[in-house]
Amino acid sequence: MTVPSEWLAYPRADGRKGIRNVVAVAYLVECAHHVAREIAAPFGDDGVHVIGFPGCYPNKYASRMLESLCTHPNVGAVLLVSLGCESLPRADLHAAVAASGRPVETLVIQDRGGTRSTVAAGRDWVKAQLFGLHGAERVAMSIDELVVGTVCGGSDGTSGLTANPAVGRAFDRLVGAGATCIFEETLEMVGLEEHVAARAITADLGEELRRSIAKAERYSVAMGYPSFATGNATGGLTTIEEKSLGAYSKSGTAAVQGLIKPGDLPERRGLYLLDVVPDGDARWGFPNINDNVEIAELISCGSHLILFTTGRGSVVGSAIAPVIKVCANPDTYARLSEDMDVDAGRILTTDSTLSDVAGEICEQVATVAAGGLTASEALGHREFVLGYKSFEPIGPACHPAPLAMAQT
Amino acid sequence: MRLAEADNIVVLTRAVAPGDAFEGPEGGIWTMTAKLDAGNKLAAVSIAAGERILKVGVPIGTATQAIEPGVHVHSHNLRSDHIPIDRVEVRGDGSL
Repeated sequence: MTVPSEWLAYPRADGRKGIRNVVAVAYLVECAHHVAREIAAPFGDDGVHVIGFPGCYPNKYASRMLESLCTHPNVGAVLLVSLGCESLPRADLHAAVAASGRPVETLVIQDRGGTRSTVAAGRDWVKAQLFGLHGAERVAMSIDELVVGTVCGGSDGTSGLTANPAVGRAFDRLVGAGATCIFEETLEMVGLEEHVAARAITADLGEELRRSIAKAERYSVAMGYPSFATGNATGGLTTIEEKSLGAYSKSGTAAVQGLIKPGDLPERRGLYLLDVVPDGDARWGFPNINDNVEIAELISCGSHLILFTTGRGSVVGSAIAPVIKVCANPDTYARLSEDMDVDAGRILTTDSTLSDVAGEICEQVATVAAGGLTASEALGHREFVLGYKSFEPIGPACHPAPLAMAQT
Repeated sequence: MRLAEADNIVVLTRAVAPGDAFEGPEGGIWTMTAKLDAGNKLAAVSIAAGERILKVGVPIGTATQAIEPGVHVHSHNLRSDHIPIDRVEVRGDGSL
């Protein structure tokens, strides 16, 4: 199989390029969710994705997430669906999307005469956009313009043996080819602080990484238990540091260029750590109630696609960006192959090596970037979850200037 | 599978059932007493209570009791040095 090193993509006004050209239908409060879902429903596989925020009280993080996602390079047009009396500043969001050069419309259900008329108006608008997006100009895009995020879900004892280290090797190759790669899960670096910090390009950044992992440990203790589910234990993982070890291997061996938070875009190429644990006192509940929260946050940082490793067998995909599922466990792959893109468990059962699987992952990345559908895309998975959080802006040490690299 | 030379545990690369027997890495026949999924850990050597458990050469916690070679290593005999995971209980048959 030949791996495309260049493919056609959708140019955006900010200079980024999209590997998909979806219409995002965003509900601005749960009360508008049904109307948004009904608007998107008839378009099936035509690339109309529903995202949104359920809360009625305002939250800066949620507004920023929606703005980042609505102006994500994979998005070609945006329909905002508002009930009317919610607090999310819809005019600001509308203005930000308009400023990005994308077609945008806001429908306010309370002003439109209710559910039926808003659904009809929304479908008409989406239909018109799809017509426009079909003929959209495409330009060449190469691997060094690509942003790839990684996350794991439904981990078991095989995750750290096969899929996670294979993604780590794929990350090393992608970074080597000039791509930007983002890993996260500071909750799963507890016990590995010094090792993570030593990979930072500056000592100050190393301190920031150490601090973010300490915050994650503090937060998970405040919540009552760490990022650990019963399925992890059935699969043979006993302690958080053991799970950490496996999860962390997804990051590969490249130097860490910076620390970002949801909605921040990496300023350069190379490897970045995304900190998804809220700042300040533990409030708003669990930082990641499920894997899709983290997937949405990786996408908000510009990830064009996501490498998702799973041992127990997650079936999810995502709105906005394709999710490539790398299955760690050969037994799980045998049961759920229709939901999986890469069989990394074959490392345990055949003479395939980590390097072979890393090569296949890189091939998948290029194929999907060129328009090939992932298993979850083909099956219609477009999960999306967004809740309350709060973050302080990142400090200067989190994003060392390029000069700093020469000094260390 | 032994992940690193320094490790005192090995990892199952396939599921096992009670009665399954195979040779341990240091010789001797190990007979399984529980149903375990791939990815579970067995002691590779005799481990004393209080000894660190090493996986890929990295400590993943401390043994809470003496563990004989071939015995399942999990939350009944291994405790985190960071955050104890109290809600995970393993029954005598190895299931949850």
